[in-house]
Amino acid sequence: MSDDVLVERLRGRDLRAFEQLYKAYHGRMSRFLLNMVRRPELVEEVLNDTMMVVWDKIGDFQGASKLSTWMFGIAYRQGLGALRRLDEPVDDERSATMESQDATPEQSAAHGRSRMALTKAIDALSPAHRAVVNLTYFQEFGYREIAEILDCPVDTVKTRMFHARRHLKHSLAGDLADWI
Amino acid sequence: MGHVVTFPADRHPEVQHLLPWYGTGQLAEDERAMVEAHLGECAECRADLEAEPMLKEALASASPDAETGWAALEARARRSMPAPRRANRPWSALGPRLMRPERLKWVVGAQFAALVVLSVAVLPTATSVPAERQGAYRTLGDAPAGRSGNVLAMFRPDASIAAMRHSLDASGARFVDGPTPAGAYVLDVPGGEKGRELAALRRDPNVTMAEPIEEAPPE
Repeated sequence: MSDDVLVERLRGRDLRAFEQLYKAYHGRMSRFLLNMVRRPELVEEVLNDTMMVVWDKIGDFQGASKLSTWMFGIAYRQGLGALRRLDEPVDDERSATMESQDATPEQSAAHGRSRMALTKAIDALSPAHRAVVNLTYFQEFGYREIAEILDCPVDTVKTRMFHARRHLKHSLAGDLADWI
Repeated sequence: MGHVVTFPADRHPEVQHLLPWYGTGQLAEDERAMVEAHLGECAECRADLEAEPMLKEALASASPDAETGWAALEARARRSMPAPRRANRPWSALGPRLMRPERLKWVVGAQFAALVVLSVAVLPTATSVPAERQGAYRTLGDAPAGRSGNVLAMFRPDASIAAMRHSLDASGARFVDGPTPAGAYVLDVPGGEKGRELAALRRDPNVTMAEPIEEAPPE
């Protein structure tokens, strides 16, 4: 079913179409939210809140962007809202300056280049940086669409991705080939 | 003498910022051409591009474990869905929020009408069965009646059978069902949701999760 048909059916309050949408997006959106909020117990709640906004606000969707872009934008804002309720910092730029706090390559090697180190490095990124990484690598959005989803300038998306990659590669001790 | 030399490094910062989307095929044609022209003359960017798939794979493997995530969701899903046959349908979690009151009264009314019709049709047949034929027959293989779990639990992946048994003995819990596809077990824990037994189970280092399952309301 094309997005246009799906949207029309949703506007007609077609519950079957909504179920189809939910099931089509459940996997990729759960992964996006899990990556962003890093709390498995929050994901279903945020996902359902997101889907309810889609259901209630589908009349506001003008079709200027893809349906998926619009939906991920809602999911991103719902994720930020959930983190704010937990008093988590949501949009700090610490990733841009965090290099000095990282383990040196030697230290990372000494820790056996464990996956734990990479998990820690991902956790050290801000939710906004993690969202850009996830949307780029795992949802395969272009940077303009990501800027739309995050409601920020395209240069911010590029810069966040650049710093996130630099930080993560640094945590891999500069030896990606050995890691895999 | 006014000869202008274009250094390969001119485009370098720009290309560095675009490489991830070049790798995923998400750049516009003109950007793609610009990146490719630079890649031909910049070894650093070529090396970075080669590392992109490996970085992505490493990130995928270090992302939160989907099984752990599902176990937490499954526990919540079970609590929010009293009817056991609906326990594995996350879609159903949205149901109550979609059910409008004006629809609800029609649904309840229809169910009541169906019950009345059924009771008229079935009751005379049921009451005519001789008393001696109504005795409960049970084979040795039958599951014990009334045995149901009240806690969904997960153990450490490396926990041995002996360690799991020790955890159960220490808390007085018993296996009822499992493992689920996510590796969780349904347990019967004395004391219920607020009992000391559940608290003991949660403190056990071999237990990674122990969540009460809401009891199904009476039919």
